Amino acid sequence: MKQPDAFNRYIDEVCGQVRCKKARPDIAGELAAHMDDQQAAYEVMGLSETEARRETVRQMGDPVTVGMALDRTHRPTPDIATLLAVMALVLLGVYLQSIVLGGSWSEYHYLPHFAEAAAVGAAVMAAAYLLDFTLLAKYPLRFYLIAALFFFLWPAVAFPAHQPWFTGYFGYTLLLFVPLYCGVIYAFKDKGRRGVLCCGLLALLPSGLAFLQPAPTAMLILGGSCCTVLCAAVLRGWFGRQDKYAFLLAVIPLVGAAVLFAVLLWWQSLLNAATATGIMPGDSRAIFLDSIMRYNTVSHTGMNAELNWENIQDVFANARLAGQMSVPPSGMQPGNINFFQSDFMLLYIIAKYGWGPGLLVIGGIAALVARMFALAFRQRNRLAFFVLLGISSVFAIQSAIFFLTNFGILTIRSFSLPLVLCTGWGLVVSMCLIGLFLSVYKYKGIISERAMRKAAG
Amino acid sequence: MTVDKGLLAGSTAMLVLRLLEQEDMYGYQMIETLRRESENVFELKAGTLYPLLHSLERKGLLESYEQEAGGARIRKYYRITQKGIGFYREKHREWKKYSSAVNRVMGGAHCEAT
Repeated sequence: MKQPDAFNRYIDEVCGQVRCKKARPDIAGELAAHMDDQQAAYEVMGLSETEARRETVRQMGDPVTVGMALDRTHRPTPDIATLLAVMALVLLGVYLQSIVLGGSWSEYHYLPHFAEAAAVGAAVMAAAYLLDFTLLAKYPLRFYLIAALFFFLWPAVAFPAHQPWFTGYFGYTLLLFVPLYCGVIYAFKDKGRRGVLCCGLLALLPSGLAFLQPAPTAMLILGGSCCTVLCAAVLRGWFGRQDKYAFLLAVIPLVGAAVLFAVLLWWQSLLNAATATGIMPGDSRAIFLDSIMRYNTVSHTGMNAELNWENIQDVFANARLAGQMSVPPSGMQPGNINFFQSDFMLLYIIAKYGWGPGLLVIGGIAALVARMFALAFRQRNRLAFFVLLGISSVFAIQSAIFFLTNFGILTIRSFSLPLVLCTGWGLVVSMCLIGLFLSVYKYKGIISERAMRKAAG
Repeated sequence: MTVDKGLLAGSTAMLVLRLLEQEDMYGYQMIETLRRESENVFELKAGTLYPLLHSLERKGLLESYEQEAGGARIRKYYRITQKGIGFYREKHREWKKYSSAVNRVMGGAHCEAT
């Protein structure tokens, strides 16, 4: 309904006092509807249109005072508790790693390397915090496909022949697909089973990119996180369908990632056969297949060849609350655990320093992840809910894989534990995701679903 | 009789929550209902109501949703949450205690609002 000029002037003056621009459309809409109702009521009472409009504006009150009151209510609120928890976990990680690495901290240049990663991570987190997450609603598929193209070209252009050390950078960076995927889900509102199917198939894109590198752990994290968000979207009726077929389609991301993972394991067995027949070094296929083998921790360049289920259980059975573990009959000791790549750093900490520090790490990360999920479920704005749920799932699954590897239940090469036992590029990516999480959360209660859909066009 | 606005200021939130405990309403409807039920004693201005509603919503005491109101108009309705019901009942108890005390001091009949 077209607003009279006097009404528009009043509303503009009120909204001019509200510093958060994202809150202005909702405020303007609500005030406009109110003023229409008020004018109509005055006209029923016998006032002319002009008199009714004038009286309506007068009844609304001083626009500057009203605007300032609304400004106080609509300020983005950073989640200080989560930020402090993140800082505490990073500092805990610095402390534990400095103790564990001891003299090696300087010998292998870990401290400058960590300081550099932390500084870059803090800058990236700040930049992510300032991002406008509503852009995910405006250009979801565009961002998603551009990112896919980037990840497809990156290894071929920058680092050919599947260099193993590059896999870490690639795998961690792939995790940034998850927030983009949440925007894709948002774009398929009310599209029914077709929408669920499209989202399920699009989730295979990052898993497929991880498959090509190969980065199996990233594949599992991506598949699990995308599946979690897609199932939540189906459960909340986002696609307009909540039947069992929609749920079956929603597990495509996880099933797809699991299938790709199984294919990689099958290729690993091919490598064993190929090695037995004597493939020459330098053969690109051999290098590719060899990089898959690195994802079996037991055979990873032989550094943890002694680690198996029995040895790991020996550590847990003989670890103390504080201090070094007692030596079991098998002779297993902390010195048998190679932790330099941080895969088994938790196991080493428990073996060398006891359950106390180990439980501190486990409890700290579990508390942060639980809080992240709780904050996600408090979101009424759907895009915000999807993004926060997706990021929480990344942290949860990454942590779960790390713990299961350290407990000897999984034998794949895990990613480092987010924020805590994490250095280098892994720390930068984790902090980027945290920055995005905090950015989305600060607009809690400010951006309505209607305003978001309007922004999405 | 014009009532001192200061007497209203502290209890506006309670009155709004009371209205919403009965049914979901939009802003203009709340102002009119309050005016009618108080027999024109409470004349809440929109500039006071909307900041209050948004504040209560951010605190989780209310939640809002939108409905079409005819033509191209969208109305924003408010609904009280469980947390809001608990908050309202606590404020109501405080009010009953307060108003009883005032009445006793003023020497009037003991008045318990229902």
